[in-house]
Amino acid sequence: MNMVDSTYTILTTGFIIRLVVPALYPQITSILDKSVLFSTPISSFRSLQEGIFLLTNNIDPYNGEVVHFPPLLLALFSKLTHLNVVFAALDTLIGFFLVQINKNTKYSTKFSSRVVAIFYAFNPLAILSTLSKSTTVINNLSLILVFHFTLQNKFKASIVSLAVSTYLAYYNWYFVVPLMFSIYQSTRLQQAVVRSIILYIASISALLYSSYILTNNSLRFLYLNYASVVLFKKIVPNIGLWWYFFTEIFDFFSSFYLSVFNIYSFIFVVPLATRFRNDLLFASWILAGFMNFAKAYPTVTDLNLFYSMLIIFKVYYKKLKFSPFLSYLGVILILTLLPIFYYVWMSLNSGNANFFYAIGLVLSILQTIIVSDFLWSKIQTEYFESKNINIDTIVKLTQI
Amino acid sequence: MALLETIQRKINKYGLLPKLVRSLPKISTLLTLLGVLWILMLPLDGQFRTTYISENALMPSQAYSFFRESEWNFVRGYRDQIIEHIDDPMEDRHEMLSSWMKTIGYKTFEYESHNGSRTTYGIYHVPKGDDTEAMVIVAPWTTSDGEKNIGGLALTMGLIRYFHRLSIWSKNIIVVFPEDGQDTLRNWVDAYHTTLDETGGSMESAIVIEYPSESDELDYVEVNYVGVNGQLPNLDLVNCAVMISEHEGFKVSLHNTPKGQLWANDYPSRLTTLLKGLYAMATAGLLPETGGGNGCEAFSGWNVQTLTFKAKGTEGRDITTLGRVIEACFRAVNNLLEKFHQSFFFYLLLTPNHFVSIGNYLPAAVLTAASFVISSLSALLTNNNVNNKHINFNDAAVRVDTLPLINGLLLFATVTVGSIFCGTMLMWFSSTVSFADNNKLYTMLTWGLILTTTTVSTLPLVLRYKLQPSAAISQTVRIANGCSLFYLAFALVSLLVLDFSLSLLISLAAFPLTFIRYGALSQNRKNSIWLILSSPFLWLAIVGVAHKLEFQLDIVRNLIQYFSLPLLKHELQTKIFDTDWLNPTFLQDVLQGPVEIFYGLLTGYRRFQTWTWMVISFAWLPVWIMSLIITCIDVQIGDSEKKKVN
Repeated sequence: MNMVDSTYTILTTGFIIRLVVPALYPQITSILDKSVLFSTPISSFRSLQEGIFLLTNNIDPYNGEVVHFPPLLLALFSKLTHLNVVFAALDTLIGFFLVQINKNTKYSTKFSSRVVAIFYAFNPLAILSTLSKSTTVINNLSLILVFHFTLQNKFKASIVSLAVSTYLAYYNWYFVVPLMFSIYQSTRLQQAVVRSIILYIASISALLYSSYILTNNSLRFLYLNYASVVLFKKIVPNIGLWWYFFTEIFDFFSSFYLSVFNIYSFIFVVPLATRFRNDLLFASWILAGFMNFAKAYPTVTDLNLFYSMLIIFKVYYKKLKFSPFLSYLGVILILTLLPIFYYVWMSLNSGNANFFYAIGLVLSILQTIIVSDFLWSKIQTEYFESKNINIDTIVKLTQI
Repeated sequence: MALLETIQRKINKYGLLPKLVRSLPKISTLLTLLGVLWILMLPLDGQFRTTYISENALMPSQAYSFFRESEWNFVRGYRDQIIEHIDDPMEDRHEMLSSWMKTIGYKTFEYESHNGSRTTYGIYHVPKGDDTEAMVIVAPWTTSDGEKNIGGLALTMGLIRYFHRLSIWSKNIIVVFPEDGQDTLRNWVDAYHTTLDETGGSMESAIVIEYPSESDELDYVEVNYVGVNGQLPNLDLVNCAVMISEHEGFKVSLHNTPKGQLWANDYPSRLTTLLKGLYAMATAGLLPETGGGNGCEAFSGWNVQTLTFKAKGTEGRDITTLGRVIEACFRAVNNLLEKFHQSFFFYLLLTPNHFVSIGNYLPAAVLTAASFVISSLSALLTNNNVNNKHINFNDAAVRVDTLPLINGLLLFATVTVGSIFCGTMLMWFSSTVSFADNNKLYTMLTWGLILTTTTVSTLPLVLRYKLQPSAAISQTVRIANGCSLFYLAFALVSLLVLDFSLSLLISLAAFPLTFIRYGALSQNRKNSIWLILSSPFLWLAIVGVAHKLEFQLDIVRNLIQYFSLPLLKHELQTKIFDTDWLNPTFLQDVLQGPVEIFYGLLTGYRRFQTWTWMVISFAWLPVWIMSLIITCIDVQIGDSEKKKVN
């Protein structure tokens, strides 16, 4: 059996796993959907179902405060049946494009397609995210598509995917910056960038306008989809850093913290893109990793994108302080502890919010360590390459 | 970071790393010893605190109680009736209690659970309250020791009659008369929170009364507070109960402390109470099919702060004194404006008035669990392979090839999944095969498992089959060993926050697993001892037998604290020489101990949501089996000696 065939076999096996588990054990979706790791009010399957219910019963879903999904997505899902198949297929597509991205990168060392396929197909994080049926899976797919098309220099496709992806989730517009840098890097034309921006704005406008028409000429979906994320309207515990501040601080500080958190989530976008102009896939990936703890409503499904793409960057493993195996293990351990602390707080009532937040903080610290470790490794590798030194030579570089 | 860099450089400069790696097993042992030492330190002066009422609203014992002589007459009257009808069928008894409660003014109901056990309960919707919260008073027909709860039932009837006349209540009063304080009560509590139509709001607290004697007086009270899965009632409630009891002149006993020790407040007595508390918390919820539950386990998991008052002795203060204690507790809870949230949910009591809070005792279990982390690290860094003894530690020695890595992980995963499957199957088995009808089967199962695990532990002694020496085998075994130890460490750490005592006791019992070394089969002799010592089923046997023999730690403490030869002789005489060990009925009864505990373990989750069996079969047992397999593999060369052989 050749390489390509076996890759497809593995991905198909992954697809079957994602299909068989919910078929044999249908409660798994609601269990995961109730867990704090996989659901937020913005992306949970529960609220999606509620939105679909309202829509099919001719009640305007955007009248209340429950549905935070873009209208086109909701309309699409109200027509879809066999959601198990849909989500399994979407997630397998992510795996497929991950393999493609891995194939198309220009890194000197990388894993074979088979390893990448195995890694994604049997990745517990990926499987669990699929089973949780959160719409973030679609968001991940759209981002992977953006990366895939950018790598192939199919910029129009990647801009349209990014527009869709931005339409789906607010934070994704941050990726415009590395994408524009990519376009400039490959064309060296400022006009191309301007044209791309116009295309981006045009596609987004088209999407938003059709949503506007779809929701009976109301702009309320804008508030529900995007403003409520930016303004952190639903203060619900999650694995991120935001919620604790807004539950604990006095109300008159909240606008200050809102701006701080929002600025913080954006602050590294431009510097990352400028610093890693020659490797914008890496910059975008680091950005995705950074967003995992800087965004308002992160879930494990978001984390999945970053930790799945980790396998593409084998070339930087050499200079890491902590091996990816260790960091992956660490993340899994903390993710196991999180529900325990949530349980101690919410069900047993014997712990409190501090317990859960503390362990969430550990997760965020772990992620910052992983992200900065990769950054430092990237910088070192670049240095070695630029000076033509063998990567295995023992030279101590020091951070200033 | 700069400091870390400096340390790292120093370590490199002096070549400390290999030495450090080689001494990891010692560090691991040291950590466990430190953990034990930590526990032993807790009862020292200065390590614990005096209890205090943290919630201002409670105000225990601030009102004068009128539950005195005139009410005594009612209690006596009820008691006479109860004595007369105690052996009637449950329906008649239910009718009797219902008619009494209806006369007083309670709404009464009967709940019959799926297995036919009955509970009579009554609700007093208090006029002043908003009908959202309730306080519960429970008097089971049978106490945890299997006696008829005559005094308890009478006192409860007298109390609720008296409560109905008071106009102070802001929370509903629910009175419950279950057949027993374990499964029947648990079924009722579960039903109350899920299916019952007639309820009185969320339960804030529950007080269970056990008073088996027919006497008018009692000597002191024992307070039980331990729920399943390491859950305890809020310390404020315990403090209230203790404070009120002492205010009324009762001495309070914890964990069956004998009367003579109630005045003691010295290091040995505090340590004894602490250890008994740890043991009680770790074994809570492992109840035999009948008899044993004191009520606290039944309310566990529903956020109901539960206490059991057990009357001890038949002379001293009159029964209304206990009534006044319970009344004052009810009044205190009634004063509460919010839920119990002040004070501690995690604590260890040393005496009724002294406690250690979670911050002070948690490090003990952290240390013992950390010992497993270190030993797993040590295993991964090739320390456990005896062939590596003389190889200097370096990066090359630690390298694992991909195939052995995958094989080792797969081996461990298979064992874990197998153990989880077997554990779950046993739980399913216990839910379909009734204990009473198949006692023999359970006895065979339990003792079969105990004997089998002990026998297979000696396998390393008898195995002679030699394998072709290869580094792949060494590496596979190393990965399996290291991962299994790490898995156990992680399980113990996760368990820490939920159930400190269980985590600590399992890590101590499983500690010998860290001594397991593998090598050529002829060198694996000592492993059998460690395997036997750390077998979950050996501990099951020990716990079961100790339970049946009614082992009392206080006797041991007495012997050590006031050591004298005549005392030792006396104790040996009464406890060992006077016992007819070969008497078949006695022996059978003792051997039945582990069987009952095992049944309690298997059914714990179904009946009380006790996780103990899951923790054992999901974490401890797979690691034990893994260690057994490792010791049965012939590992003849070190991990990095590939080249020499090929």
